[in-house]
Order: sequence, then structure tokens, then C-alpha cells
Amino acid sequence: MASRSLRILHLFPDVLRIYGDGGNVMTLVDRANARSIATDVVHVPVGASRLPPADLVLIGGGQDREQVTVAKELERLGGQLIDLVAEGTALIAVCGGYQNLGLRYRTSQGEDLPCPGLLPVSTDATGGGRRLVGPVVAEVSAHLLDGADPSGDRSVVGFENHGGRTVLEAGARPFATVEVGHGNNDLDGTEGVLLMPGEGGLRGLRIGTYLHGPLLPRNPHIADALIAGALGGHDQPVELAPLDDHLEWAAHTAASARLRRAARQDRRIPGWAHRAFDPIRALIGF
Amino acid sequence: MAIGLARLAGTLVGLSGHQGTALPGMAAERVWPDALATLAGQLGAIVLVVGTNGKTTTAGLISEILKRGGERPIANRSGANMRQGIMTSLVRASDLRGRLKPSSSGPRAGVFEVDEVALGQILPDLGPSVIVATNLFRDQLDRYGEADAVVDRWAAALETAAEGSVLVHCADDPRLAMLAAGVHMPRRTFGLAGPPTDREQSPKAEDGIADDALIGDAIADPITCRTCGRLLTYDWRSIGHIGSFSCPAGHIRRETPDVTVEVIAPSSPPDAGGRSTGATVRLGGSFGDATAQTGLIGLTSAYNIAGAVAAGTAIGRSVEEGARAIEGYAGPFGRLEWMKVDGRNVVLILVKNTVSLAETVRLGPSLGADVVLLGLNDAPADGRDVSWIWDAPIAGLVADRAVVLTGTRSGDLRLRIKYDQETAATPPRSIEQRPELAEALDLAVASAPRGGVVAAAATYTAMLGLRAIMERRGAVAAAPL
Repeated sequence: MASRSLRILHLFPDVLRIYGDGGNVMTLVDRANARSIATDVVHVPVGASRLPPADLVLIGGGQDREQVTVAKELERLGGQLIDLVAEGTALIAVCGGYQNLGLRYRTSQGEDLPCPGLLPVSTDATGGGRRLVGPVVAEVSAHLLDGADPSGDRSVVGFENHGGRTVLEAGARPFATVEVGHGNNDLDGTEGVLLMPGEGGLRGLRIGTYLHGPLLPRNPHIADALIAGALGGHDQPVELAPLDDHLEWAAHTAASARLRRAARQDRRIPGWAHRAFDPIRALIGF
Repeated sequence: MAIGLARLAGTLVGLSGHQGTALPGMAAERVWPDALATLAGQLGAIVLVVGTNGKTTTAGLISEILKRGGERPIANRSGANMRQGIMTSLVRASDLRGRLKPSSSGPRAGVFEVDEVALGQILPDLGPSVIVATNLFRDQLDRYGEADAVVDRWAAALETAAEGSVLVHCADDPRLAMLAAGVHMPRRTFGLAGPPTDREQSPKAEDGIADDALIGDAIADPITCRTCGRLLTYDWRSIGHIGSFSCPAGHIRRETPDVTVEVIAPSSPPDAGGRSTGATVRLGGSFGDATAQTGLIGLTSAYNIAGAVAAGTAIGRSVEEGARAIEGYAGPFGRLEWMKVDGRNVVLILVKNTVSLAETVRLGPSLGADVVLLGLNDAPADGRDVSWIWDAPIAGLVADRAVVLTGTRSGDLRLRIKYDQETAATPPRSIEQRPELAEALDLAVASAPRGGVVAAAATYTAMLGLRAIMERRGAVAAAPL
């Protein structure tokens, strides 16, 4: 095990990094190193000519304008990315990157951006609906954490901020089910998309999600599932030695407990009271 | 009648022990819809200050410049920068018939800091003579949306500016330069005289695959040219995406600022008597030169000073007059404010986004802190999304120091430090987590030696909370110099 190494590609950090995405990389590096797995982080900026081989690819979030730039880059590099995932490279795509890697993405300007179709989702940001913003508590798909998590806690916490509505293709599996928050489209309770190794004809684990915060520091079970998926793949699962995660779970449960409590209180307040008092609450910041 | 009602509301709120910065204004507008325009119409020069960072300090400096000229400017309270807050400040200054009490030298001037999203609904009614745009950083994405969307809002708002009003903006901020390029109004710019001397320039990213060191300034937002979409390149950077920028295809580049500033002597931490010295700056450019010994600290303050002096030149105050007026100004509360608690010097620093945190980290050594107290809350006024703490390098602030973490999201700060690979080499001497502000403050103060320094960097509501606790315990603000 000690001789194993993990190479992480961070795609387009020069244009996609507005939601603390670097924190995800730091978490992966630290948790791999803690298991004596050497790491190597390669930043792939806009204009890169090729994608080097890697165990794990991470792509983060950006503004609309930068997503247009990324779509152009993916027209060139999307084929190489699919080849990597076909060979077993794991993928985590957050927010903007998640939208960019789907089958279709229509921007708020009504422009259809070219998409590589790596994730079975379609996103529409037209329609001028309100942005879906706020903290999220969700329950991660049991497929991802099957037997991996000793505490048995499958909850995931994060923050979402997106204008686009994302719909899963028929039969596609969500990354998580929303408990508090909006998720993919504020309608069907799904959050993100999950493809286990081997599914859809590609050998790599794939997670697409709107959750930043960043996602991985407060969700160590997800970080470990990604590392295990990146190192193992579907034919040779990898066991990672457990770490002392009490700080991670303390931050995690502090957030989830607070949000669940607020949501419960919220449900007890009738609609008319919300309409009457929410503007005042907003004004005094309470 | 409306004003009377508003004043009554203000008195009632005041009696209840609150600051009451919004309610009187709301009450007046409810019964008198034209109140804001009518009251503002009685003002002389009106200066609005808008931007992500430095609004309160810049507005405070501009007020100092006006006061030195004999004016008694009307200003809104720090943070009360929505429409109602400005309304309230005007109501307070008017008589019961809605007339502003004039000063001896004629109509009074107004200096108002304005919230980023409120500019559009305030500007037409106020009809300002000068609009100062300090900078535009990514901030509170949960509330404002993307920075590009804010630029579009401001552009639309500036279209409604009165004939002859002047836009004063930071020449080094490409977002503002791109905004100004599309706005047809007289302009005046401010910026650094040259590359800042207190920081190294990171190597430029090359084409192709870059490793860690070549990615450029990780704090900076990526800025692309509005015309061609190419990433801007920089000769030098100062703070985040601010610097000497240009579009590789030549669509836009930094202009030489009309008013320039450089820090010629940095600030120093408190001496045995608890007195600190602010930075000395040299102002220059086409409107004249001057040197000023300030009560302020850091490069962000230098920008605020240049912005205020540039605004002064737009209303007839020379650079020399501006420099004299701001000497000794120690800044608004909570923005690098020194307080004496139990024999220790506590410096309060407002942090609210990646850039202000990164600048705080840079200030670290000049503060001479023995203990670092970090406060992170996620109330709406703080910004509910705290992911920005991951974008600033924090090693310089916490390495080899006693660290106390507080606030509703102190657990996130704890993880931020745990997962910081840079800090692993020189970890904090100790890390304590106390979500309750009062408990954390006690521990931080007790951990510093007598006469020592506690650097307390906190988000808005955490900063207000810490300050209130210190005031209740009889702490007094120690004026620098």
C-alpha cells in the first residue's frame, strides 16, 4: 500500500474556483498522505494541450462567463477526459463543472453550450427563476458508501448556489436525496448524480454535485469514497485505514443539527406568518 | 408630519436600546414617498461610496476632507447602507417640517456608503455629484450573485446619474475599468504608484500544464476580458485581481491613475503604552503631490486614502488639502481598531471575504500578535456561505501562534487549519475552539501576556459581538498615534 500514489488533476482552476474548491483538493491530499499514499496535484489551466494520466479528476464552479470558456476547452479536451474515465479515473464535478460535463447545458442567456455528455444530466438556466441558494443536508446514495462508513451516517452537508435547474436522465442515480435545501431542480428531491465504476460503460467512479462549502472537508466519508474509487476501481476495491475524524464529524453534525432544527421550526410556522414576518426578519438580520 | 413620525419611530427604537438605523427611514418613506429625493435635494455636494471592501473607511476619510473645509457633512452609519439607512441619516438631520438644517457656509454636504445591490434604487433619488467605486471583489455570492452581475447592475445605475456627475474609480481594478469603459460620464481614477513593495509577485502561469507554483495568485478571481473572453494578464498584482492588468488581445489595459499612492513607511504595532503608529503614504499624480502620516494600516487603507483624496479633487479639494485632512484618522470601528482589555491590546479586524482574510494574513507580522482569535459566523449579514475561508492562505496568521476559534462556524475554521498543508510544517502553538464569543475572548486575552497583542479577525456579526462584549467590560478604543 505504501508504494501507491494518487495523482489528482484539478481542471481549469484558473477560471473555475469560486467556491473554495481548493479545499477539496487539500482534503484529498491530506487524507491520502495520512494513509502513506503519495499525492501529486496537477493543475490544468485553460489552454492546456492535453490531459495527463491521473487517478482522480476534480472540476469546480465558476461564473456564467467562465463556463462559456470551459465549454470551449471541453470541446477540445472532453474526449480525452472521457477516455481517462473509461480507463478507471474517478471524477468529482462541483456546481459549474457539473453543469458543463452533462449532456446539455443552456445558459441564462439561452445559449446552448457544447457538452461532452460525461454525466447523464441536462441543465437549463433560462427561465429567470430565482437562484437556488442556501445550506443543504442530504442523504447520500447507499451505493457510494456501501460498507465504507463505520458510523453508518450517510448524511452530507454543503452549500448550494445555482441558477440552473438540472434534470437526471431516466434511470440515472442521484448522488444524494435532499433533506434540507433545493438540490438539482427544487422539484424532485434529487441532488447531483452518481455513477459507480463500470456503470454507463466507463470504469471510473463519477460524482456530479451542486454542493460546495467546500464539500469534502466536512464530509470525510465522501472524500474517502473518492480516494478509494480513484485507487481501486470496480474490479479491485481498496480498503482505506480509518482516520481520527472527530473534528470533521463535529463540524458536520453541528451544521446538520442546526439546519434540521431550523427546518423543523420552519414547518411549524404557517405560510401567512412567513409572508408577514420574513421581510422584517430579513431587515433585522435574525 | 412624515418626518415627525420618523423621528418618533427613531426615538422609540432608541429607547428600546437598538441603533435603529432602518426604521425611521422606512416610516418616513411609507407616508411620504418623495422623502428621499426631497431631503437630498436640499444637500450641496453629495458623494456616494460603493464597492466590496473599504466603503466605510473611504466614506469616513471623505467626511474628514469635507470637515477640514469647514463643512459638517451628513453621513450614514457604518453598515446602514441600504435605502432606509440613508433615509434615516437625513431624517435625523432635518427639522419637523422636513427641512435640513443648513450649515453656516450654505447647504450641507452628504457622504453616504451604499450597498452593492442598493445603488440602483438610491442613485436616481440622491442625484450625487460624485460616485466613488472602491473595488469589486467576489463577496457574499449567496446574496449578490456573481461579480459580473454586480457590474451590470452598477452600469445600469450609472446610466441614471445626473449630467456632470463624476465617477471616481480604482484604476487597478479591471472589473471597474471594464465598467467605466461602457459608461459615458466624467471620470477620475486612483491607484498605486507602482507594484506594492510588501509582497512578492507570483510567477506567471505558462501555457500548457502548470504545477502548483505556476497557477498565479490563488486568491485572485479569474478575470476575463469582457470583449474577447481571454484571461487578463498582469505586470504586477496588489490585492487579489487588482493590479496592472491588460487584455492579451489589447481590448483593455490599466490606465495610469489620476491620483497615485504608495506606502513609504509601514505601520508599527503598539508600544509599551499601547499606542500604534499608522502608515505613511505619498500621494501623487496629475493633481499634485503630498505626504501624509496616517492612522491606518496596510495596503487596503492606502487604496482607501487614494480614493478619498481623488473624490476630494472632484469637489474642489486639492491633494495637499486632502492629505492634511486625513492625517491621524484612525478609521471606523471594527476595522483595525485597537482596544485595551485587561492590560492587553486587542486589535479588531473585520474579515468578510477571501481578499480581506488574505490581507489580514499579510498584516499578521506588523500587528505583533501573541494570540490570534478568529471568529466565523454565518448569519445573513456575514454571508451564509463560508467557503471563502478555503481560498486564502492562512499559514502566515496561525503558524506558531496560540489560536482561538469562535463563532457558529468555528468547526469549519478548525478543519481549515487541519487541512492546510502549508501550516503542517509550522503548526499553531495551540488551537482552542470556543463557539461562544465571550468565552473565546476571555481565553484569547488570558493567553496573551500583559501588554501583549490579541489579533481578533472576525466576520461582521462576530466582530460586532466581540466589540460589544469588550465595551461592556469597560474596554476603550485606544487611538493610534
